[in-house]
Amino acid sequence: MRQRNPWRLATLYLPLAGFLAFTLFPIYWTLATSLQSEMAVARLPIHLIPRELTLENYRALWSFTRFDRFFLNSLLVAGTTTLLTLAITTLSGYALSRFRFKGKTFIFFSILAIQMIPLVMIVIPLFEIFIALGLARSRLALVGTYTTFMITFCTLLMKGFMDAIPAEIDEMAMIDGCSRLGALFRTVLPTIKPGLVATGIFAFIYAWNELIFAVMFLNSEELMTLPVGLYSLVGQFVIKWTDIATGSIIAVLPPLLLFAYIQRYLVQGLASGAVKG
Amino acid sequence: MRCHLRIPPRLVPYLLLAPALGFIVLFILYPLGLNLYTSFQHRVFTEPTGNRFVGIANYLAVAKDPTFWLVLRQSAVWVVGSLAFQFILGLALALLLNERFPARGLYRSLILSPWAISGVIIAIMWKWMYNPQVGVLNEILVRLGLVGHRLAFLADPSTSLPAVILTNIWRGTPFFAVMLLAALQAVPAALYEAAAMDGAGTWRRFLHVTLPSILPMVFAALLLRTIWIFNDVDLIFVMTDGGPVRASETLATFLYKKASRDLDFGMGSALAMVMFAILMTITAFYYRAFRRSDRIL
Repeated sequence: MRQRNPWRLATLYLPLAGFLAFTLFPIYWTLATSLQSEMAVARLPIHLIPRELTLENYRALWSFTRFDRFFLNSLLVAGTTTLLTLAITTLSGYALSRFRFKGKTFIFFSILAIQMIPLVMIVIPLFEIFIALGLARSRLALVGTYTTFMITFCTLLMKGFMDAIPAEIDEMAMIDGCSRLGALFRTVLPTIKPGLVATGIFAFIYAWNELIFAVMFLNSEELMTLPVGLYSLVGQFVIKWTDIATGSIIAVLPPLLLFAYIQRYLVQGLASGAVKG
Repeated sequence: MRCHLRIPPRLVPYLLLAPALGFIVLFILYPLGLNLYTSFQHRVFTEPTGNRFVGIANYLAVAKDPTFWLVLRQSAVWVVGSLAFQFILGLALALLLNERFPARGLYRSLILSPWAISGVIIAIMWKWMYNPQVGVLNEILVRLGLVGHRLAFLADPSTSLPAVILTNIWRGTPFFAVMLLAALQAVPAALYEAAAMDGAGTWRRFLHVTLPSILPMVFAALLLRTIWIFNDVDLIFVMTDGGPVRASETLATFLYKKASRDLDFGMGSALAMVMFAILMTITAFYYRAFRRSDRIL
């Protein structure tokens, strides 16, 4: 249906531009702040387009703060969470996709329902469980927590990806002498590789960004992940906004780049009941 | 020749599910049970020998605490304020995204970017923009002549909660839009054609074709978002820490601070159970409203 151009401009392009400006401005402003000196951002009047740009903040952040440590911790926690989540949900997704067994419907709906349990509720008991396991105040506690929270979402994603390929390819592999697991690893996984990558990225982004459990579980600077490190910087008496903006930009790059790759799977996952806000 | 461990085929799916279910039981379901148990105890982390069973004393203490009722009201404002705008803007954005225009894929990527940004960084970005001395928001408002002097949005009790709500709207709108977009794209084109044939205009088509078709997704999205927003801690925690003088404290931040700062696990667990009960009630309410609307439309 073709409509007149001024009408289309007013009802489509202007609102689209408005939404885009609203969404991107905070990100632009943080980036602009990170590229100016501390003096420049504290001076009035404020220029919406910065006058002098410098990369000094980026150099200083790596040399004078524990930011490299935070970055490494985040990489470690998010990386381990990703691998563990993939290993576990490959198996669980396969079970739900390929087998008929007693209790399947119950397990499937339980996994759907568990996504809705408010996680802030279990901060306290989880912390006590990790004390009992001797893991409180450790990165391993975070990995265990994040993996568990991603299992429901990623199982449903994996099931969706596996459902999309015909079960005959497993059967053919098994006729050729593969075991069940052999069929999974030699034929199913290679076929759904893009889906596997997407699932891993979801787990990675979640673990990379999480703050609330990390603040509760980690208390030494040595172990802090990026969100906790950034949080500790905003909590200080004198806030160095250029440092914080710079740290934020560095921390936000990996998930943003990965997200650009997987965003279409987000929509696809929604259709199969996997939800992650 | 390779050797295979002989596993009865009947057991295979259960074994495949075992690790996933093991993690869920150990780190979600068991803690939930433990939470219920702890809520009936006096249990403060800093007094390791003081643990004892106290019955419903924690629940009574919660009910008698005026702060609880204050943060409950503020939670309602936080949820309704965030949700209403996220929904209206999200629906508008979804309808726009459902149109055909150049570079739609790129546009969708950019518009969804808040989803991938950590709550703490979103909080930092906005806290910096709200800065009373050199914040860019004040600069824009002053230049447009909307305010006479610079405002301390987050430090003023009358504006701190609305200011954090605006940040939450920024954060949640794009994802809301994508959920609704998924529903919009599933509406059969034939329905629109039939409506157009009957002479229905844009507005009537929206009301009689689009809305009934996406209604189940609208309810699901509203319910999920209610739960998420109700439990959301990070934005408020970083931007205002619930302040000033609890003006932006919600039930979730109140509970979280009871746990992480006061280390009062008994009271915290009782609060968590109360939150759970409230969420159950809300879920039941949504479900009934959904059933009813299904009959009407």
